[in-house]
Amino acid sequence: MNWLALRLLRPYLIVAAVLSAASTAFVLLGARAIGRQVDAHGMVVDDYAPDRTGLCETGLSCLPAGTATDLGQAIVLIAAFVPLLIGLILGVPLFAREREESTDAFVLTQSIPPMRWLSTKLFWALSAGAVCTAAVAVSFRRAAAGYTLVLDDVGYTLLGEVHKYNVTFMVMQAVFITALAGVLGLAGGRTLRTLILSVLAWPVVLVVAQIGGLLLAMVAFLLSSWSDSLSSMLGTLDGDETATFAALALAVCTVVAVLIGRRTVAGSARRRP
Amino acid sequence: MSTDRTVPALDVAGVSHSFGRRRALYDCSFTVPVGGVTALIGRNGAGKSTLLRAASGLLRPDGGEVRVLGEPVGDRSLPRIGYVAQQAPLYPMLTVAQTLALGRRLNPRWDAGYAQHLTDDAALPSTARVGTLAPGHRSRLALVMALAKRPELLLLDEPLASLDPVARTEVIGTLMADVAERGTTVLLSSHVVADIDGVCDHVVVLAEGRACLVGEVEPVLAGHLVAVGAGFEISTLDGAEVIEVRTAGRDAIALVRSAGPVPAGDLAWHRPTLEELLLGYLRAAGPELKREVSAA
Repeated sequence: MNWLALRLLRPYLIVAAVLSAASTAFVLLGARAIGRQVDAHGMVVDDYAPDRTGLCETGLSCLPAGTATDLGQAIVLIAAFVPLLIGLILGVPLFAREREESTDAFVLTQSIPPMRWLSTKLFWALSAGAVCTAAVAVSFRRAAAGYTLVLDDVGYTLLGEVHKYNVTFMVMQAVFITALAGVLGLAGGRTLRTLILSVLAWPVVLVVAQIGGLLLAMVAFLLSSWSDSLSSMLGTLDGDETATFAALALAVCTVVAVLIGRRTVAGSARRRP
Repeated sequence: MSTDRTVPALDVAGVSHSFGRRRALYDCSFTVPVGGVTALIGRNGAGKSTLLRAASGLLRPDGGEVRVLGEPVGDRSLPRIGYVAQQAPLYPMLTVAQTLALGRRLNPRWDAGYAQHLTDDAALPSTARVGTLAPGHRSRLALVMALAKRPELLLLDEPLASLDPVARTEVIGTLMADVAERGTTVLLSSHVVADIDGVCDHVVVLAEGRACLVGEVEPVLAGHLVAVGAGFEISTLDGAEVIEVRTAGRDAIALVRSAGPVPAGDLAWHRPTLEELLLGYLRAAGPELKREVSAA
């Protein structure tokens, strides 16, 4: 089953890997170019700090206009949208294409249980999504996050809420979008419809992650009331910790999506003439 | 093969299924005995594909139960079933050789030698991608995949539709050989009566989602008669179980269920051919299948 899952995923794995490699290279090279410009202007940009210190103050600490700002903006776009793109590339065709071409009728009547088909395909797609996104996320966080904090543009600053400058959150975003698109494809069986629904669901996913993260943090705070140090820590979360709770919410959503996928496999044929 | 011949190969008990408002199967019940070829006949939309999908585990019916070789359809029955769907779906990006290798990976009882033999017989080029094969060749490959799995029950959804006459004969020969050598049970659906004439030894006619005729071919034929004569004479078949009446001008032809001797009278009687019998049932398909003819 592994062979089949990887063979079917191959073109999408290649596209996702190329996108990941190109994005990582751009982030690293872009960060280096920004660093040179910053140095040339005699500015000191601190490394990224979770409490958002060192935000841009127009005329004082913003990136120099021109190439540095352009590169910084491009890097923000990469950090914000590459996890989504990787999730869509791997998740949309995962089951939708099989359903569309009816090849599921072939594979599901071989001697392997349908649940193994589902779990094997999901495992490879989610793993690939996590690895491809992690490369971009780590390079962004380590090399470029500090620069993107001092971008003189409100829109790009707001895009920070999409990636939260957090590796775990970016990775979980790609993982969840992959799982969500996979399950939508499994239920709907149409590639284009799955793509549109997944894209439309993305803003909702971000809101759910935000609210879910806060709720989880609140639960953790209440549960840790026996310990002063723990409740104090959970009561004053910094940006990174908030993002980690949001990533945890996405992890829960991923598990829910996989469970829905299992139920869909068990009863998907009900709706198909 | 250690198949218990007292247990039916396929037991369909009160199966009902709807797609939205459309009812595909309604309280459908019949059994398919072990060994031999059973033809599943019905008009388009009669529920043949739905039934085969339910038997293969691809569809969970709304009601009733399908048992394969004595056990409910599920993971355990998968290795014992071979299924070829209507469009013979296979992965188009794989070559023929890769598709066969995939069969070996996915099926513990895979017979590689038999698969190669059948592939050679069908003259399927091993390096050709499945997506580039003609529909007939793709159907042959799908059949190879199902047969090389060494199933005890082979479910074929209109397997002959895309084949040329020569390939059709070859496929039928392969199926008959498998039945004879291994005792495989074959259930093949078709809406072309000529396709199954001389091939099947059991027949199931589906109409409006229900089985309206089930049985071994010879006894079923022996239990019916065709009456030919003037329309008014046909209408005097009081009490006889008339399946279907066709009129042409003043003359009429009636298919009658009758186990007794040929009745006396002016009507010409003969034993129906399989085609006459099945067409009679298919034409008569409707909510009220069996009709009692009353005197005009």
